[in-house]
Amino acid sequence: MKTSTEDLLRGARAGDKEATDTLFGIAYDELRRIARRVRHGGNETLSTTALVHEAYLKLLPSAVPANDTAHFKLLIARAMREVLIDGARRRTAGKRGGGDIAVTLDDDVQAAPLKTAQLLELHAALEELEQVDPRRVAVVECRFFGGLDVEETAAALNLSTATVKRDWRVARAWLAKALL
Amino acid sequence: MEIFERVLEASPDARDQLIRDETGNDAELAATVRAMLTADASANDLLDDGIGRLAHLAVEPGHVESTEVLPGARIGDFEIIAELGRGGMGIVYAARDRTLGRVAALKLLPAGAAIDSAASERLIAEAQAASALDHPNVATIYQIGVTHDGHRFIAMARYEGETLRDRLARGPLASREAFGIARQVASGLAAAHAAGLVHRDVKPENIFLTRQGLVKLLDFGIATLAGSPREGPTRGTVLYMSPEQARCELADARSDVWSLGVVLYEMLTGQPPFTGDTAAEILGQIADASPVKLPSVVRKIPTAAVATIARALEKDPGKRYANGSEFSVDLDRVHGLWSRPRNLRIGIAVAAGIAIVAASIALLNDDRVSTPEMPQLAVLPVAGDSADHEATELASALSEEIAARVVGLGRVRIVPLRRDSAGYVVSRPGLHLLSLVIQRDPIGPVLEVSLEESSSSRTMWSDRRGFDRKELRELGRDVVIGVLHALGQPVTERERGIIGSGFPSSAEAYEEYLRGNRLLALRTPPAVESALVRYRRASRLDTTFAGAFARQSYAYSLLLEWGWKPSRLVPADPLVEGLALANRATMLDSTSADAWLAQAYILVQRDPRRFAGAVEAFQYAISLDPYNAEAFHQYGQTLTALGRYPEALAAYRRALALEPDRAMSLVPMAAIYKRQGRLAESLRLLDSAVSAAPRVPYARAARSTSRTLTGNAKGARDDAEIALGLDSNYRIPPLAALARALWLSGDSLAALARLREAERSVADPSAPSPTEAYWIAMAEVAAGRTERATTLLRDARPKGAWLWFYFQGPELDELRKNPEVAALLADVDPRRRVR
Repeated sequence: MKTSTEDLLRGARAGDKEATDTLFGIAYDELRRIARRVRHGGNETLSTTALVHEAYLKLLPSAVPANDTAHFKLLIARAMREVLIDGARRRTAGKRGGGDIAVTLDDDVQAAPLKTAQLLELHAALEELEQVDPRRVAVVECRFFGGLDVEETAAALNLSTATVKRDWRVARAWLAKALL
Repeated sequence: MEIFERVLEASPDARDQLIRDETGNDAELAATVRAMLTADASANDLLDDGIGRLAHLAVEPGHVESTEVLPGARIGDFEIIAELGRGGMGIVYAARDRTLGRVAALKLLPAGAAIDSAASERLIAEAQAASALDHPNVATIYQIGVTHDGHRFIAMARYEGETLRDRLARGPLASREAFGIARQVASGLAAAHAAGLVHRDVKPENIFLTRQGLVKLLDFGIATLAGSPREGPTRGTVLYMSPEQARCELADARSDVWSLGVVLYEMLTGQPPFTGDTAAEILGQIADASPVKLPSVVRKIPTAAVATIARALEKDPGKRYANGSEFSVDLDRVHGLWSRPRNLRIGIAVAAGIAIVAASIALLNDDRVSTPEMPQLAVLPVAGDSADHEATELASALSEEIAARVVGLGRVRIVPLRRDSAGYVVSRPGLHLLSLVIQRDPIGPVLEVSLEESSSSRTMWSDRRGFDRKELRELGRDVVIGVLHALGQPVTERERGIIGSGFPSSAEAYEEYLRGNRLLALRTPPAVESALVRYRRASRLDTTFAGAFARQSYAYSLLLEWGWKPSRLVPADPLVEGLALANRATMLDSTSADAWLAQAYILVQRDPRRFAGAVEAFQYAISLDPYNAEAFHQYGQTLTALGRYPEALAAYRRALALEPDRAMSLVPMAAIYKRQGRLAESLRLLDSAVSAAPRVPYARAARSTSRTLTGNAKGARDDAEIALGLDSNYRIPPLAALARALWLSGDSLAALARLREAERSVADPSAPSPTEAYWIAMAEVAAGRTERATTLLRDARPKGAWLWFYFQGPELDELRKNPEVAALLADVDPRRRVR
């Protein structure tokens, strides 16, 4: 078990499984916590970018090397993906099993079920894409789920900004087609 | 995809040609690329919005409770104070009646239920009618109504105690207790049935056990009011359904009889009679299966009890008791079979204790260790031949037992042995020294006993006997009697018997007992479980050996305090067992401080809120053996949790006077100082504790937390890290302390990593122990996650004095400002008067 934040980040970037799992778990918990708190506050306009950013600020107040923080942002983006997919699955599972109370507090009551389904489809499409093109999936995760801009995504994935731009456009078109 | 990428790079005019070139004759591939091109050019809601508006999907629906209101909100005649808990049927709040001032429990039901208004009116009327019964076993309802946004609410009297569900979480109940509860519920049902009302949802969640021992039936008619017909039944709601309810037929009084039968079965066995993984499976069982026969699960259950339950659980309503009244007649009859209440004996024993307590309280308040008229005795360590190590060890244990017996008769004082700087025993007039020596002899080990007056070195009595392991009891008794006789204190015939019972009649039993003691001293759950097995064997080998019964009970208390879980070694209900064992011990030997200590400690477990009877039992134990540091320590602990700080500090000081380096007693003293705002003194005590016992992890963990309060994050981190490496069984406190220290030094990710590890070490995450809850909460608060800390407090079990005490620390000052936390803590405050 690593002792300091720096060790954890460095370990995760170097591919240490335990450090990665721990950081991922922390990010997952924190994102859900913030999302829940925002819900309770009645603020529905929270964007994922803001959510990820808040988690990032909360979890990384101390100065750490830039490439380590970039890698951590990637982990947060992945966690965000999982948080959303889990949430969507719970919703649909709740409807089938009939055990849970239906959501009633949404402003966009109509939109929610639709988006839930779309999100699950997107997840499935990403899993398919992962088989042939894991790098572009990573770009999508950073941009879409992590709300990272092109420069941040490039830093997190150690790619050039041009590659990120191109990957994003290609992946977006592929996903949009897959979601038709 | 690569083709698409190249196509994208080409100028729009050249794209068509490029697609043809690249895909050749593959029309499908060409179509795919074209589709991607179209998708690229057109907007996509989901992908282009980002997931901005999807963030709320991260929260599962269960958390979006539509019945959530904030403190201060007004509902009916009530103003919400704080949330008390939540369940499948909405959230329960503490609320104050704005006109009458009384505090009620207000349940806000989800709005979803699609019940037509006529049905709803009928059910409200029914609930009100039930309340109007004014029966002691039916909860009083103050008001039922509808909020402006359409939620139904019920305001009812707030009772002190717990639901039967909470009680069942600690394991099955003794038969007598179970029938006692069932007859009260039946009595409440009888009144309702007589008025033509049916409850429809009798289950452990709806049966409330007040602290005064009164049982209250909750939620009349409310089940149907809250239930949503659109949704299928869930697993939790079908367990108590009658076969006719399962078939969606109308429920009548006989349905309530069935449900109570199920509850009674569960109280006795810990399991409902009809179970399964899914609702459908359970419903199938209810319709067809016969439950596991009671006598095969519950020991010594009377035939009448089995027959009563069987009749309540008849599938055919016509064969059941017709109503609560008929059922209660048989329940009363069965309940009467246990003519002598299990706890009566404790009651008598405690009463006897109280009579003698006056003397011991005087003793506690008096710092001088002895009164001049009593002879004083000090016991020298047993000297022995190193060749016979085993015999020497046995004799050492025997000498402790002898000292305890001599003291138990109340005519001689045992004083700690004092030595001067050269190591010689300090003598003074009136002090007698008892020495036991094991010698080697061709016929076997020989025990030489002598008693001398210390200042004159005059031998008062001596004896030399074969050290026969089969005659330990006789040996021990003879030494005690010899000593007392020599000190001018003749022994009566009755006392001879008592003295004898303090010693085991068999050496095997004694050896098991000594092994148990060694294991018990390790104070870790696995060691204590093994100790139990040793004590159990000892008590079987010698059924009159009070010490073995007492220590067995003591071990159960330790396990209960640490959050007992059933295991292979300790399958029974430890509370019931512990109480019975402590009783057995005090019965066998009413002069044994050990037995009274066991009694006191198990009483602490029996009533975690107020420790009823425990303080008196501790005082009595101390009066029997005023030199037992452990007894003073445990007494201090009990007073600590009760918030009686000055008395607790005095008790710890006595423990320390007897054993100056007890880190075990220094740590809780420091905890009290910390709560009194005396942080510097607290830290000084912890420094002594750490230097006295550098390898004791809890002293380090405690100091780590105190150091964070003075801004010494570095020192806090060091302490926690060292503590973490000391004992692999002691994980949560050092992990949480480390998380707190790391967070405060800005190492947030590392802090959360430790916190995760701590959370995962909780034995039962749905019900953390008060200690677990405190440690983790304190780290959560440091990390700004107060809602997690609140959840820990809400889930912690048992609810009682310890939970209250732990959450009083200054590191949780902020948390206590939260109204829900304040209400939860007020509920467990042991100093509060019971209504």
